[in-house]
Amino acid sequence: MIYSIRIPQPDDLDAFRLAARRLLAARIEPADVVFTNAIGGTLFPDAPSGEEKTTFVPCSFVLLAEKVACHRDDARWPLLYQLLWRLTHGERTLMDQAVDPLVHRLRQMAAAVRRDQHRMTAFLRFRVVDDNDGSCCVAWYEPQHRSLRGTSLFFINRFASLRFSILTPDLTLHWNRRSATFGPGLSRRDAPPPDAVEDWWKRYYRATFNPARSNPSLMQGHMPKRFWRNLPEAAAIPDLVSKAGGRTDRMIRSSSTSR
Amino acid sequence: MRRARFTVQEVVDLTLEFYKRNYIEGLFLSSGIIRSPDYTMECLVRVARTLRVDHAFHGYIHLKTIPEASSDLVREAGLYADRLSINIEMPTPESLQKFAPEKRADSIRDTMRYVGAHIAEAQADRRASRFAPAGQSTQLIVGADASSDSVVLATASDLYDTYSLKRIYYSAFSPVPQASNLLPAQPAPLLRENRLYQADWLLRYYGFTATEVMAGTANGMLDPDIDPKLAWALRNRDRFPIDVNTADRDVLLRIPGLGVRSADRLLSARRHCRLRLDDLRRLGNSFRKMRPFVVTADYHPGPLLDRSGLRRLLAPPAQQLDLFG
Repeated sequence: MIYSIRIPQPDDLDAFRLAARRLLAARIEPADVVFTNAIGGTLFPDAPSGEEKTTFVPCSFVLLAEKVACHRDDARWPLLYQLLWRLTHGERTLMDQAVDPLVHRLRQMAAAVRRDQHRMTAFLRFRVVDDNDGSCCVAWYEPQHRSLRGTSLFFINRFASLRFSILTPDLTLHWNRRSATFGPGLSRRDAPPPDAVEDWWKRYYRATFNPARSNPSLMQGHMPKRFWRNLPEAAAIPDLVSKAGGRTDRMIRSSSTSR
Repeated sequence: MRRARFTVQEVVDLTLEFYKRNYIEGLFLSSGIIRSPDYTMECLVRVARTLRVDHAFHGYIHLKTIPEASSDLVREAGLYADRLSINIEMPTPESLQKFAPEKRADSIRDTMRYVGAHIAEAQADRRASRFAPAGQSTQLIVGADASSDSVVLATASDLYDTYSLKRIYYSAFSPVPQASNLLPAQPAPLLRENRLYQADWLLRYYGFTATEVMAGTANGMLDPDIDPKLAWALRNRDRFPIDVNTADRDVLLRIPGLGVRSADRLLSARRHCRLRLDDLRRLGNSFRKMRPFVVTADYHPGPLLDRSGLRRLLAPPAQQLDLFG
């Protein structure tokens, strides 16, 4: 018998946690569960709603699951349930076994989310927009995974004294200096227009680019091209990189003619 | 050489506007000497103080100290900066004398000692006032003088031990227009800089000494084609293969391609099962480098380790070394 579990919000770890408790209490094996986000999305019956059993799992599982829940891979819920099943069925130390294929795969998914969250904190750019209540900082950002919820505290701590909104295709975050609210995702059309300071920043970026240290492949490793379209300074990169060789040669020539 | 100058207020305003838009996470504050060392240092401190005191700026501030400035100014800088750095510039005092006669190696080291003492004091006593909580660092220019990697690493190792520096930055020399006649016209390869950083990591996290890393290298230079840990292993093959199921942590850390985090994961995994070759594939990204140097439950490299062509087998293809793309 196969059961269907509905997790409406794609990164809702609490919904997964409640469902998993019921599944474990009913002793339903991982192979007998299908996870979906749509009502009536599968032909299978819902899992039996019965008692919920408190299950003790290592703290490291929860930390891993918080990251994996934000991954875009549809396999995240079934894989997490498989891990949970094995942790509670005789393999209590499984989290320590980084070489186990399942643990390895989930750790890699968690690492991908962690990396994406880190990039979001580095590559998100605010633009100042004037509205009825004064000025507000607004950013449009397209994360690779569902990274806004996990980075929201970072932005709130760093910009606590500013009013700001972060818009992504999945979710929006609004901070009014006192409280945060989340709203539905928006589209690129809702991105704010450039403000006056952005031009200073682009000029600063061009001026501090050192052609003698230009290393395009390393640069793309740190700042992959898919993030460029929302980074104001990235528009200058192709030109700076293509001229780097010539500029370096001229520097070398002029330094040798001056001697 | 023509230089531009910002006023204190301009630097403060730009920093605040850039920080607010998340362009930057902090400020690297540095200046050439204007008028006098003390005047310059005063300006730098004023930027940091204005940001912290007048604007409650919480971003990171790395302040490059002017070594000849008075110690009171250095002390004040430590109140506002997260990290202080004092550039040693050249690997030897003789080179510093030759290339930057206006700088003095002993005053650089005096300032490092002064800063180090204040950092230690602030860390030891929670009631003491804040002083550069992210520690101190320095920068060393590589390739401007004739110093070998051996000399650079010996200096680095001495600096880490003496002043408990957090980081040493190695910077490949690049020529600037209208430079001094003493400087070379060719830039130092960025690859050399990269190898020095790898060797520096071996000193700080892998329990190597500078002497070990450099022993047996040609002309006191790190091998440009392969990383220094692999090069060390190839020169010390009698220490291998290492049994990953029994070796201690400090021995595991000597295996090429096995990083600190992978070694720790390996240690916790082997408490539960005997590790096999396939398990190692899932530990890091450098399985190919690791393989000839390890023994697992189901694998022994055998005579692979004795092959004279092993180095060629493990060295990456030449085009990957082109850092200038």
